[in-house]
Amino acid sequence: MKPRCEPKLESRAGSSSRSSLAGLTFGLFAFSALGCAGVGSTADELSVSSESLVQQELTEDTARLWRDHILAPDEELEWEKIPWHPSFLTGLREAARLEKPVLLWVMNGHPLGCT
Amino acid sequence: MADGGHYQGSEGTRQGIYVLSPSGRLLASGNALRPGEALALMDRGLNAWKVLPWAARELDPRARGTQVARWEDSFPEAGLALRITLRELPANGDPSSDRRPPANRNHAWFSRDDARAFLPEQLAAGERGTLPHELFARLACLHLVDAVHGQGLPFAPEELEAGELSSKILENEAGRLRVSFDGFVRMVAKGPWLLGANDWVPNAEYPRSIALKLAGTASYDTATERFTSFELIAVGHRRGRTQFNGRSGPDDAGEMGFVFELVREGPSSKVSPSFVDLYRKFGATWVTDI
Repeated sequence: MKPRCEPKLESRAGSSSRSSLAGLTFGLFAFSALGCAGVGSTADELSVSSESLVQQELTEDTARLWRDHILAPDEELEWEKIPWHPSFLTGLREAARLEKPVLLWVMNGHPLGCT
Repeated sequence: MADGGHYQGSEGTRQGIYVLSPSGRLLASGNALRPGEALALMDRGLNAWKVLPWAARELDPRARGTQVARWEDSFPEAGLALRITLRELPANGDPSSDRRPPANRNHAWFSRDDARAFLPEQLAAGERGTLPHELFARLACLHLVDAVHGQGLPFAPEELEAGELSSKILENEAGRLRVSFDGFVRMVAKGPWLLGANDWVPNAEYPRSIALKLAGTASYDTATERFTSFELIAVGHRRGRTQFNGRSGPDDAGEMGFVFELVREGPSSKVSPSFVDLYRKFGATWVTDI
C-alpha cells in the first residue's frame, strides 16, 4: 500500500460519545493510494549510541518493567471495545441487517502499523 | 462514495471518517482529528440517516455477492497469533518515566509448526534452543520495525546483520512448560530496496537501523500444542526514517520498544500483520497469497 503524506489521525474513535456510537455499524478499512514525494538520504551514520537501551542488560525484571511501560493502559484502549469489522463488506451487511448506517474509518496504508 | 466526500475533486488520499447507508449513499464525511469533530460528524450522519427514504437505505445489491479472499483467511487458528504494541521509550532509560504517546499496534502470525520452533527440541527442564534463522528473520524483519508514528518499512533478510532468539525450558510440569526467551537483533538498511516488487516499494532509499535486546517468558501446553501465555519484550535504539513513518530524517534517532503477547479475542483479533503479503518470502508458505 502506498499512502500519501497526510496528517495521521491522532484521535481515538472510542473517544466519541456513546449516543452516536450506538446508532452506527463500524467499518475499518485500509485505503491505498499513490505515494508522494519523499526525501532520500546519503547518510551512512547508523551507529547506536553507547547510552542506548540496547547497551543495557535486559533481565526478566527489567523486561517486566518495560512491558508495563509499553503496553497501553486500559483507558487508552476504550476504542477496542467498539465492535469494528475489519472488512467493509461485512460492515455493510451488518448495517443492513440492523437497519443502521455505517461508520467507515479509512486510514492510510494498513490499519496496523499506521495509527 | 468517497469521491463525493471531503476530498472530492482532488486526487490521492480518501483518508477520513465516513457515514454512509448500506446502499452506499454518503451521509457525512471528514478527516476529523479531534474527538469533538468526530462526534459532530457522526451526529450529522445520523441526522441525514433519519430523513433518508427507506428505499435509499437498503443494501447495495453488489454487497450481496461473495466475499473476496482476504488475508484474515490465513489466520493461524492452530498456531500462534500475537499482538504487538510498540512505543517510543524515554531517553533516560528509566521505565518508571511517564509514557510517551503515541503507541501503535501490529500482529504477528505463526503456524503450529512455527510455534513449536520457539521451544527447544527436547522439552526437559534446563533444555535450550534457538529459533531457526528463517523464522527469526520473519519475526525481526517484518515486525521489529519503527512504526510508532506511522507506516514503517520492513527489513530484507540481507539487512538482518545479527541476531537470535534463544529459549530455555524453566519447568516441565506434566507437559505444561514454562519457558524463558532472550536474544538480540541488529538490522541496517542503507542501500536500495531489496524486497522486490510489491506494495511497499519506497520512492527513495531510506537508510535506517534498529538494534534491540529481547527477553520474555511463555507457557506451553504439550497436550494441546498451544502457547497458553506469551510475552516477548524488545527494547533498544532506532535511527532513520521511512517514507511514511513520521520521522524527520536519517539522523532521527531514539529509544523504542515492543511487546508481543497473545491476541485477545475481539472483532479485530484476526486482522492480519501489516506485512503479511511478505510472509511467504520468509518461508511462511501456509499463508495464502491474494
